[in-house]
Amino acid sequence: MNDKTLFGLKEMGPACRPALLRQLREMLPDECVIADEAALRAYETDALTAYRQPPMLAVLPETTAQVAAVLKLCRELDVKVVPRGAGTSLSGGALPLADGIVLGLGKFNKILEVDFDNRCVVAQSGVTNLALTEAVQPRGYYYAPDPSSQIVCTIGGNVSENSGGVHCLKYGLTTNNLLGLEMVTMDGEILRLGGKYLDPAGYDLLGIVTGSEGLLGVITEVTVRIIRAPQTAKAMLLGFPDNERAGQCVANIISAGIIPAGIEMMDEFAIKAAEDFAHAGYPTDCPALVLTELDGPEGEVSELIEQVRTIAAGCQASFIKVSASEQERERIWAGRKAAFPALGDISPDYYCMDGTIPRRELAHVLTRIRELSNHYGLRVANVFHAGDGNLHPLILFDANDKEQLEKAEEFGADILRLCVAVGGVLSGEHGIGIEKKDLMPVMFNEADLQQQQRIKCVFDPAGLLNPGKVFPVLHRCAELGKLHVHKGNIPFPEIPRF
Amino acid sequence: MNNEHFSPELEQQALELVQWSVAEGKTLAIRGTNTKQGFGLPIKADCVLTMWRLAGICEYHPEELVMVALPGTPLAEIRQELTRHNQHLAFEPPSLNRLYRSDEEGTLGGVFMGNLAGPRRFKAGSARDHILGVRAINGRGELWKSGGKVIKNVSGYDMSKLLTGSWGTLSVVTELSFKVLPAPPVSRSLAVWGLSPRLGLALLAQVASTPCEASGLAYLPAAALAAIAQNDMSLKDEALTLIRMEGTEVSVAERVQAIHQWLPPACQHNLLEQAESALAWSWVCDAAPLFDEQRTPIILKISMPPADAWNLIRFIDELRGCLWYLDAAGGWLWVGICQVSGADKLHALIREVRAAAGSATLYRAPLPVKQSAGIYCFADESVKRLNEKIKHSFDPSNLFNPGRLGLN
Ligand SMILES: Cc1cc2nc3c(=O)[nH]c(=O)nc-3n(C[C@H](O)[C@H](O)[C@H](O)COP(=O)(O)OP(=O)(O)OC[C@H]3O[C@@H](n4cnc5c(N)ncnc54)[C@H](O)[C@@H]3O)c2cc1C
Repeated sequence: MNDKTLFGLKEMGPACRPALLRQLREMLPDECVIADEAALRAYETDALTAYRQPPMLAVLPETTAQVAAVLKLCRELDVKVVPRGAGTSLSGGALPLADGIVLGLGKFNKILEVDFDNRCVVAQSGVTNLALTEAVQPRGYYYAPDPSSQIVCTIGGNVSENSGGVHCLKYGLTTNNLLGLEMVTMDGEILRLGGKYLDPAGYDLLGIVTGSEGLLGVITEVTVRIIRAPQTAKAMLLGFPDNERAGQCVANIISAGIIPAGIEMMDEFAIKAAEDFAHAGYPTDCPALVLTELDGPEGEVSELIEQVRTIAAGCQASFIKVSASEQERERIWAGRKAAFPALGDISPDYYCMDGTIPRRELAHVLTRIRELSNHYGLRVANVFHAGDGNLHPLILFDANDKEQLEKAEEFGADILRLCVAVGGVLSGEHGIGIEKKDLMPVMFNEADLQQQQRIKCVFDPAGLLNPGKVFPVLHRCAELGKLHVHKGNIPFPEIPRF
Repeated sequence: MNNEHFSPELEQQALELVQWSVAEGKTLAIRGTNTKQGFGLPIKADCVLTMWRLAGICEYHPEELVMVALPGTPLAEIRQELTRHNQHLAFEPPSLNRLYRSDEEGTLGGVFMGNLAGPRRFKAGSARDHILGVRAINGRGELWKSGGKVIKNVSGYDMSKLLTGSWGTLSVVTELSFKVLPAPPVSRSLAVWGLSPRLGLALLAQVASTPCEASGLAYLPAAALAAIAQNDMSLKDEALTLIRMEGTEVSVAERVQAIHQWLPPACQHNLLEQAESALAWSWVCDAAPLFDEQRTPIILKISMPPADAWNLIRFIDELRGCLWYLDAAGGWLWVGICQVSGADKLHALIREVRAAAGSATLYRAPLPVKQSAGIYCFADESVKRLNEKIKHSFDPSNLFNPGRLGLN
């Protein structure tokens, strides 16, 4: 990420811009086509704000047919398209291209059907995550995946990133809660995958589209399953003398056969920042805090709370608190959810990392992160989806200081390399986007990446949909499709025949 | 055909074999222990590649909920190892042995390649919801990998899901990592007898809409129950509605108690304790009412919106000569069609499934019926075409299990 300069539209806009604009205006209502330079600034970045680039044009279609028409036109004119939901991607997935348009799903904001009989909701892809839950809450249901950005992020964005949330250990990620979708391919073909039923026929197309970061198609409609809210939920705060014992406690809880609705960990720095900001009742004298929620039928929850209490005590917990009321439970979570903004208060900027590790490596990884923090001279706070090993180190820096920004990025890359080195992965829930694409070879070799790119070629052979994301190097589909045959003699007398 | 059989012991050998088959244009029938050979169209291949020697558990971290194993590992071995740590495969893979008349023990690879799932499907998902990563060899003779060995990962496309349910048509899988979960200490079921299909369905829907967290909701009409030959329970000659609760002792007792308020007045019911409950659910899971091939030569498994189950059932009853039962909280309808000449009924049923915007998979049928109906009921042609393109992208020369899924 060396070049983050703003390109002027005039220099970069390809020759087809006038023709494209004219045709877009013919097919869409006026307010759906944005060409004004100032207005385009609204789209120049997502939540990875270090990268900025206004698009050539932005379009905000209102119907699936319009999406299809726009994509078809772009395909004909060879124009790149970046789909965009709410623009909260933390990996730069929705970063525009100077020679491409942004296709925003902002007008796809209607819930189409709440179907309690089939325990699902059908919604347009621009509906926010929280709106889904709000639509079904009156009857005691909810949509389980709950990213912290749920007030604004869209369900289409959630599908594209396979987003998680604090409840995904027990209730799954987006991919486990998605039943169907309607999407438009770059050719303008409208596809319906799945529906209000469990098992679509054939290969798992829903599975491959989920988490594909806007590279395979534009999602216009989504069917998700909803579940009944648990009878009761209680949160617990558990303070420990060090990260090792906190990590051990998490492992022991899971080994005991308990899958909490959520289980989070915060380090000393994050605890203090969150407590100062949100006054959630966190013990600020504990070097490590585990926050957990147990939900389900009343009797079960009481039983589990006691079990967790015993396990925590066995790991030398110095602080144990159980939420006594619904308000207190919410306050405990408010602290965790405020961890990011709280750090934003302390430091001009922070860079949120997102790798997953096997939890048994936690103590080692946190120690190493502290060493790196000293090495780079940048502070770091750790919040952590402890149940599934998903780390979120937050690197504090000042973006106005170019050197600090570069250091923060190097530091972040070192952390992700470390995650992979200990047997983990580059991203647990924020995606690869533009941010981590150059690190993909740390995890995957050329054959692995080519196999993935062949999927891209199935859906978008011209490579016009969100190019430049996820993959470090783009190969041409014709090249990827070639079959290289190495003539072999039958080399395996040693392979057992039956 | 006098096929040559290969059974590699190492990934490298499997790789060399596939490279040779690519070079020579030799097609491969890929198997574990061949317990599910009856699924799909018959495979006509030059050679047989059996994976059962590539077996063993490579890594198991109970506290991380992750296991890594080779595809030929017997499912029984996996289960045994998990049980030792009070864990299980939450998606409850069925045994299709009786359905496909095999005496062998199924392998891990088969479970994932078939995307199997049992009665917990509506709550815990299927194999595809538990796969974490794969190592595999594509139809170009290249070894590739995807995913990881941790339970949360969005690095790159979720390729492992595409392989799950591909029935060996996309790649030869050489290693799988997957999510494992704590097994519930207590599992009990309420058996409710003699409800009409309408009342049975209403009860399932009612329970599914409460926070009771039932982990099994099935309805077997009297005819389906009668077809279960090896019943050790003194079964009544009546329809059975099954409601399963799992968890801790206190919790299960509490929830079973809560269910009583939803039972229709004066219906007969009794509690099935652990062993009995497990037996009853194994019938549902493994499709016991449909074992007998003489009796139900054609089996279609329908996946539909639960609220459409009632209409489909009425349609099936009007067709006559079908045996059916409902699983997955009304989301799955297993249908056995009773005569060999049931092709017309099958086609009528498939049309009805399409109208209900559901999907269906043909689990068993005489060859001509399979050929005319296809294995999958695709929603439309464009989705089918996409399936074919995906097949081509992994296996351009159509070397792996050619013809099995009826894709070109
Ligand atoms: C404060 C904060 C907290 C967050 N917390 C979490 C969290 O707890 N868990 C988590 O998983 N993530 C979290 N995120 C990340 C982010 O919110 C998610 O990735 C979210 O799903 C993005 O949704 P969006 O609508 O903003 O998508 P965008 O950012 O607009 O787009 C994301 C990607 O999806 C593509 N895309 C969007 N919509 C479509 C569509 N309809 N069709 C095709 N492609 C599309 C875009 O091209 C882009 O590649 C957080 C972000 C912030 C800023």
